[in-house]
Amino acid sequence: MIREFHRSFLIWCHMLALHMSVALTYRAQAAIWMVGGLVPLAMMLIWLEIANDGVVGGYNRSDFILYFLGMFFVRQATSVWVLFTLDRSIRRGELSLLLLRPIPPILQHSAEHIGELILRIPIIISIFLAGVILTGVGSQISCTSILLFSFALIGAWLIVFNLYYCLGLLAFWIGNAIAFDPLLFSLYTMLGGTIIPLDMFPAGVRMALSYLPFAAALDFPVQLLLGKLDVREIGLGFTVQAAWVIVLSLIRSTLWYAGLKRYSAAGA
Amino acid sequence: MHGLGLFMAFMRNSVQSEIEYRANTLVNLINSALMVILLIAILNAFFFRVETLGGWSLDQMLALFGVALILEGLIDCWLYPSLHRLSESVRRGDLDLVLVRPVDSQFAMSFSNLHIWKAPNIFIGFGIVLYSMNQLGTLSPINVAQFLLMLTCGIAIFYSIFLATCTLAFWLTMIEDVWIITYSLMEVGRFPVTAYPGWMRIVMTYVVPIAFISNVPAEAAAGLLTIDRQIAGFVVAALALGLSRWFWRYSLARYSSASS
Repeated sequence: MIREFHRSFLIWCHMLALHMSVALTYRAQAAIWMVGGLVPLAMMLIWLEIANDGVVGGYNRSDFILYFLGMFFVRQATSVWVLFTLDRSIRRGELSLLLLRPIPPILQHSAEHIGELILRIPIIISIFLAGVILTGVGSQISCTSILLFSFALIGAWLIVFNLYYCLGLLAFWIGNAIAFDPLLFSLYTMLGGTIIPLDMFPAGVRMALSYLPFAAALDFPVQLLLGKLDVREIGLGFTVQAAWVIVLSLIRSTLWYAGLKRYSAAGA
Repeated sequence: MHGLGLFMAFMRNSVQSEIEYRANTLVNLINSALMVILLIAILNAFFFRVETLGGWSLDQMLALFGVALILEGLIDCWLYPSLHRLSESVRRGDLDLVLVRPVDSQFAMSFSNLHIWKAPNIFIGFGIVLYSMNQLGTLSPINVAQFLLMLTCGIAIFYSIFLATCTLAFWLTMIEDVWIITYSLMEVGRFPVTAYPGWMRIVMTYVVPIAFISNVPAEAAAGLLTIDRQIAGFVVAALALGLSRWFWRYSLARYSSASS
């Protein structure tokens, strides 16, 4: 059992290295995609104009700056394209190739994503730090909040990855699973707080939204960075994250085994 | 007339290849409807906190979101399907197949593929604009005509920027998906230019004319269009079309084909 685990881990590490070098080759491409990720910073400018050096919904100038810098960070660190990879490989039968390899496809997909993330994270951190230093909001960040933020980021990544994985697996049943991408993306942007911080909503709406996976993956980590939550809220946030990771993983593995029975390896 | 005939042929071709995915139309319709409900809810919640956004009221913002939805629909069903493969065509030399045809290459490329099942967004966008005009009490034939006119100019500018970013493929063969930048422009243009700080307003009006793409049509719908804004809209549209045309021809000269 342990030996098998160890072997899978070694293979996973090799795949990680492989995908890192692939990402390095296409680094110019990654830079282009990152330009698209700067949109939250445009929202920051709008909110700063609205606040106009005052306080809106309990947020002052430095709260807004840190909030949207945090949004940028979380969005970039949890960017996932597994929906497209899965959809294509199931439709074209390329999944057979992944099935032949000695570790499960989900681990291969995760190696692809983590490999690219390792290369991207220094750039994301640099942009984030540059923003923090230039605007002078650094004093609001504490060591505790950075530590909690890092943990919540892992939870956020697992939620987003599993969510998109579930959607991608629908390709076993329907011709074009990526048709759902725009919907999920807008749910994610609007209910996660990328455009409007969830704290701006009426209290009841805000409460309801914070139980959704979108808020758990975006709003919650950023709130930890802002350091505005009390111990009870932090506990609740991590519980919601854990619950979604478990639920989505269960749905994912159910879909996976059911889908595999239908898989006909078209064209391969 | 020759151009129109070709356009119809491209349309027919696209329809035929899209018929297979007709279930997608339903999915898209559901997607769009949910998105709009969500959007209106979010916008209402937003105005719960603030009275105006850069001087725009809730109903005026709705018109702007409608315009953004039309543009998004146009990317999904026209610009992206037709132009995103340009970089691959340049790298692999597939562009030969377009160049040998006795048609203008820019025209042939620009309308090469249309995904009609993504069209619901466009209609819903128009619906939202009309609804907001009704709410604002500006729903008159003249305002609708003004709106359509300025929307045409906005689309011309947007098309030009999209084409120009795709044309960069001739210069940067290692990079795909430069069009993604245009997508982010649309995201930024979802909000009134006046809601941004001063320096951004200048950039968004004179450097990257987002103001004329999304704001001016929405102003026309709200009956707020001034004559100088309108004239500026025409000038910018003509300039954008001319410049992107020039850039296309200039870049085409660099094309060296690949294997053939």
